[in-house]
Amino acid sequence: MSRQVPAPWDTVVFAVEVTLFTYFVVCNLFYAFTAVVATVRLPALTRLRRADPGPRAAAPLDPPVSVVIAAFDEEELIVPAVRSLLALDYPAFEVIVVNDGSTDATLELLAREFELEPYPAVPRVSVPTTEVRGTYRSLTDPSLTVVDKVNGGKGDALNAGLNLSRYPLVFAGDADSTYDPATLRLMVEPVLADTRTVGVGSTIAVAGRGGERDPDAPPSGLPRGLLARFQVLEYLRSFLATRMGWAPFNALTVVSGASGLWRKDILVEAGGYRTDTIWEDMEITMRVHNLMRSRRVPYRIAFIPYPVCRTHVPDTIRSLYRQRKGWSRHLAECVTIHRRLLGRGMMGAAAFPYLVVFELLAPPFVALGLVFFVLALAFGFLSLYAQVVLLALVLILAILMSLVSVLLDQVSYNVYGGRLNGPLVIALVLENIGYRQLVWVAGLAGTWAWFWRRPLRPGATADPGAARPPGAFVRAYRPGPPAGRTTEAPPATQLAGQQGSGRAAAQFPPPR
Amino acid sequence: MSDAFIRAMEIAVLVFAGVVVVLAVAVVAVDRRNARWSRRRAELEARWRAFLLGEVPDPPPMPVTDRDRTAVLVLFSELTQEPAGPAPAPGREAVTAAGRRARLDRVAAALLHGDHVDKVVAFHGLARLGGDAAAETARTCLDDPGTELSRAAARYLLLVDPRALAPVLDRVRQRPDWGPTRVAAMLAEIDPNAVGQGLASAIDRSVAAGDTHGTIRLLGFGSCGTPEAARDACGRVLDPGADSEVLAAALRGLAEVARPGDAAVARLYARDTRAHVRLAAIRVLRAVGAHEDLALLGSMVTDPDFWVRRRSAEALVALGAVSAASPPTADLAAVSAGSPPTGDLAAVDDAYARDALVEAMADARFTGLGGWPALRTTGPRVVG
Repeated sequence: MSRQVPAPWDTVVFAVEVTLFTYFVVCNLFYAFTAVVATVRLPALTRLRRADPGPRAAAPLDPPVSVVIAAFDEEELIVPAVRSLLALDYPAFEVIVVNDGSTDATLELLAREFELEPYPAVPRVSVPTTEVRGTYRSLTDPSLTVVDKVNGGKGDALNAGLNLSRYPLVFAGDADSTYDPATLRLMVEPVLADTRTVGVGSTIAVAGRGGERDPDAPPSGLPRGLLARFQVLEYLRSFLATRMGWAPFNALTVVSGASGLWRKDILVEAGGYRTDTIWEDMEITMRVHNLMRSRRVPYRIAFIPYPVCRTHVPDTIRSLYRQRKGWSRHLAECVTIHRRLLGRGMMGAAAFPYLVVFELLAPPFVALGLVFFVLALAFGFLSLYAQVVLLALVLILAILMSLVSVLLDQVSYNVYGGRLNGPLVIALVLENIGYRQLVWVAGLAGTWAWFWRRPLRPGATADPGAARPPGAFVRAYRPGPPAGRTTEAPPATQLAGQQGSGRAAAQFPPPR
Repeated sequence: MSDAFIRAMEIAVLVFAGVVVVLAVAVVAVDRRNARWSRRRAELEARWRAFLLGEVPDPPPMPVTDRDRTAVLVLFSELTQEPAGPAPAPGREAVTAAGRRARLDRVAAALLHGDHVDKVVAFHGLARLGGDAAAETARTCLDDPGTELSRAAARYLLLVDPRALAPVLDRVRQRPDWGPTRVAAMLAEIDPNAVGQGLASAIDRSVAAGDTHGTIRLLGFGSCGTPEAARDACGRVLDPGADSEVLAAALRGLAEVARPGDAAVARLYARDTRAHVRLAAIRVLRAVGAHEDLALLGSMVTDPDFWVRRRSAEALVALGAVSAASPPTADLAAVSAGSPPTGDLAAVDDAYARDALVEAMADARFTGLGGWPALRTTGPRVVG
């Protein structure tokens, strides 16, 4: 039995109890809402896809796509990643790899593997970037262009690729991911089916063991290790049970940086990728929402449930902690930069508040809850039995959400293949003991670092195992407006002066 | 925390624990069902594929479950569809004949009574298996809001009823959700002469209705008909008073089927004040331009618009006005980086024009004179 709390503390305790419980209930209602929407939509979509697979080959009427990937210190994974991109089944596309000032042999490996030659590219500088040191084309596959530039972050590298891109659609990917050959065909489909579509995101799967023995084999199946399997469950929850639920309401808050297709004119109009945030994917998604809502034109950011991309996830606790700290900080940056989205459409009325209250504020609330229950136990104003019941409820709901996600995967694409993997079931229970707490602590640290504007060490998130852009080493936090944009470039021969060629800019006509 | 509240939580724990148990059982059951179905589908597909491709004479026993029927019909549609990559071994006609022998048309007709996914499967199967018994249902489904169902109905109608071309093309004009690739694949399955004539009529109707987007969309499918019909269709809308997007789409369409005589039209529009019209005119000149067009294209490499400069430079290289054989790419890169230009480039004063030419020459070196695939679109431009 619990002890009676003396006034006025009884009011405080009651208020905290009500707040925490309301938070818990509303949070789970949101989860339930998106899971129900996904459960209704996903099996139907999958069935329809199987019933109407479409032409086996892409046709020349498909719009050409520029694939842009940023690479920073990616010597281990860059070659298979570029190979998987060059093997895409699509009639017209180019691959632009931007080497963002790597300190390892990324550029040398690319040069050797793909026989790079200097190529006098003339960029249409739509978005300013750091100095471009050189541009190269592959002799073995001319659709591959490599840009070598001074380090500036993933957003800056993507902007450099954007400037060089030739086509109206841009697919932004990651250098540590591998892609299904049908990636572009599937990602372009929503753009063709609905002319209002300005961006398309997709499910991302965790890279499995498939490619361990044969580097050319796709990394299918479940990954090794409990830590990676915890992340498999997280990815399933995040993509199938959450994003799939928000997408029909045009309320997607993030098009993942590992697999996102955008209309180039919209990216340029939005000012390109921002370079002063830790990562760029959520920020550009929210900026496009903001831009399109300001223009008051109908638009759509679509989502395809098929996992076109497999990415490598952190395989150590340290790298996972760094990654999640960065994610949390990026989330804080985005919701403050784009606070004007609040209340605008379904995105502003539900998805954005959900993001703030149940993603950004979740770690502080969890911390508050833990402190409250420890105090309650210490001072005896909440019985041990009540605490056990509450804890059981939390655990059961967490397991329930994971089970729903696994079930959604099974009734759709069965991404991790084969019979139900015993270790995945074990992970489903074990992730609640230690793993989730680690993620909360990292989230709290990220929010704290954002609050005090603490710069992260360069390379702090540049973990080769990070699912987010590995090139996203971070410079000191510098709040400021999005990068300015120009619609026309000075001639490349004039830019040459800025690119270290030594030729004076004054020798050439001024920019038009 | 009141006792009533704790009691409520106890009930919640019991209820949700029950849900977890049910879900866990469902996960195991679905997992086993998936495994069984994977085996069954592999077996079904192997047996039916062998029969449809003529490797065995007799059809397998008739499929029994809904999923079996769907899997067999989807396999049949895959083996008979156009355009395909490598053609199936005995050819589409043989597969279709085998399907008819196995009475797959009855299997497909049975699916017409199912939900919209069943109907999609049925229409795709019946489109090849023939018979117009489902025509009335298809006409009803043609205006279904669902993209896949309406498109499948349209494909079925096109293949079984030649009179359906006009209404289908009107839907193509009105339904941007029918992706251009799918529409092109659908039109490629019927007589190109009929498609050409049908497109010309549909474009006329679209122009008469003042449907700019529809006209642009239809012009994009010109290559699905005969070249003569495509030229005729483009010629009908090449009127200086027409919408500039329509003009550009017509010029883009014309570029694919142009004859040397069409260069005169392109020259006219190459001087248009709107950059996207000039760009489209350059495509025609690149395809059929003559010696006299080199001066015009030469003047366009100093155009204020970036893409006009680039495309005219590419056209100059493709037409042989600028040598792509020399200097080597490394020298081009050096010019781009600031070294004094030589050869053809030495005569170019404008740095912007030189940039465009340098890149076009390098492109030709890396990719051949065909250069990069040009943008084809059946809708309004998405980027200038």
